[in-house]
Amino acid sequence: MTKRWIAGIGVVGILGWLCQYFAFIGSPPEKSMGNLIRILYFHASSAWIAFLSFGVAAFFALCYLIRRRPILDQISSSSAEIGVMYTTVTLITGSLWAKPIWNAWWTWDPRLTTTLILWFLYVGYLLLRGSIEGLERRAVVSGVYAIIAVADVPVIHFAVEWWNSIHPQVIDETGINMPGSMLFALMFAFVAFFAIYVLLLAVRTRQEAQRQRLYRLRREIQEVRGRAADKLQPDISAHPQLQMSVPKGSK
Amino acid sequence: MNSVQVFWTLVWKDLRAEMRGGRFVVSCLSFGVLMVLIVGMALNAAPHLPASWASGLLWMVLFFTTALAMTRHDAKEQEFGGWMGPWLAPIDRSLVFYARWCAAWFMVLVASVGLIALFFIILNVPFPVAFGTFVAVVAAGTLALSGAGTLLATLAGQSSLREVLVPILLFPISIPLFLALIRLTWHALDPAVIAGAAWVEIVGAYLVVVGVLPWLLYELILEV
Repeated sequence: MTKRWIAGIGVVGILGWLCQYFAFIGSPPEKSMGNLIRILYFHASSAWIAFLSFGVAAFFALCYLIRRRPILDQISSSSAEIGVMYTTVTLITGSLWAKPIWNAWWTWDPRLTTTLILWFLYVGYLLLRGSIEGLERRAVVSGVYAIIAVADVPVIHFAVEWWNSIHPQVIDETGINMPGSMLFALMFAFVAFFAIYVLLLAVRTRQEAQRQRLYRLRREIQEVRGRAADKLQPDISAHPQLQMSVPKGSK
Repeated sequence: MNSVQVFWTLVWKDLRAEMRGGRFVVSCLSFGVLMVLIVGMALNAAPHLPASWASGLLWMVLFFTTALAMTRHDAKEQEFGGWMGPWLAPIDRSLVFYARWCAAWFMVLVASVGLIALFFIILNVPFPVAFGTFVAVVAAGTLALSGAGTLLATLAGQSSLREVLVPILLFPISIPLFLALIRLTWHALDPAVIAGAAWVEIVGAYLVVVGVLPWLLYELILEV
């Protein structure tokens, strides 16, 4: 492991600890929901990073389809995977918050429902990608799907807007509905989650690049073995007793 | 041959393949009727369904029927490598998509007519008050669903999980469309319920996205 990686992990670790400090100790409890506000720092941050991840996945998928460089596909797929992870965190933390506040683990609130749809969209992406043979074919098909999926996100968003959502809005047209101390904790959590995203993206892209390299090496070895086997095969024409007899009139 | 002639030739090819025993319409209709029966039993043979429930159940049945049909749409072409014919033709590849979409829509529509008639009879749903609106919603809804289904079936065509993946991919992609169609059908069944123009816009947005994206991306999907 190089110094650069160790430094990256160290920075993310420090940011993570500070994030927990500000979320659990630094931030005051909220007037009506008390300590439950602390879930929001993780919930909202992971939701924002999830959207960012899917945007990055679609952008790099488009770049791949134009430029056809494997690294672009590797970044795109890695970002989508991390996006699914962050969306899972969003759904779980949202559910933990909803139980004491709304008295239910799950409600059919449009924002919850559409986040779940988003999760399914990208789980579908991962299933599609994982079940296609061939590196280039897989990259193109999953790239096209990533673009279709992200084109659907604004429509989902507007469908939410046109319903009457009961989901609290931290930021709306009136401004930021939160005191400064809480806003600082929220923004710090966002920065920490973003740093985790960047680190995971770098690690996962590297892994994917190595996996694809191994796949290509395996194919090359198979071809070399195939050629070697062809050379070693005895010349059948020189040995008439080895030739199969073919019935007359058969094609 | 110009593009329009090629388009109609391809549509006619799909329809002829269906008439020669493609079983698309028959399987759609059988599956859909079975679903209507299951829904009727699950609701304990409720004598009167509220319009909101009826519209939701109708689109649920139509959605699953379309999703199932899309996985089998080009099954006949796969048998003897017949799919290579259109791909080798010196035409714009997106034309192949539009022809497939058009043929699939026509077949889904034919199956839907029978299905909807049985839905109204079996579940004892009152005849739509705004019949014109109802017909327009069904036509636009099946058009958008079959378009998205045709595109996703091509995407999933290379996958080993193809049969399962098409519904898994189609449902999340078409959720807003699904909601809009339910609202608009509810309005058609009971005009006292107001369906905002926003829901019509969602259906329109889907038709635009399904119409434009394959023109840009279909060639890419087919080249690999």
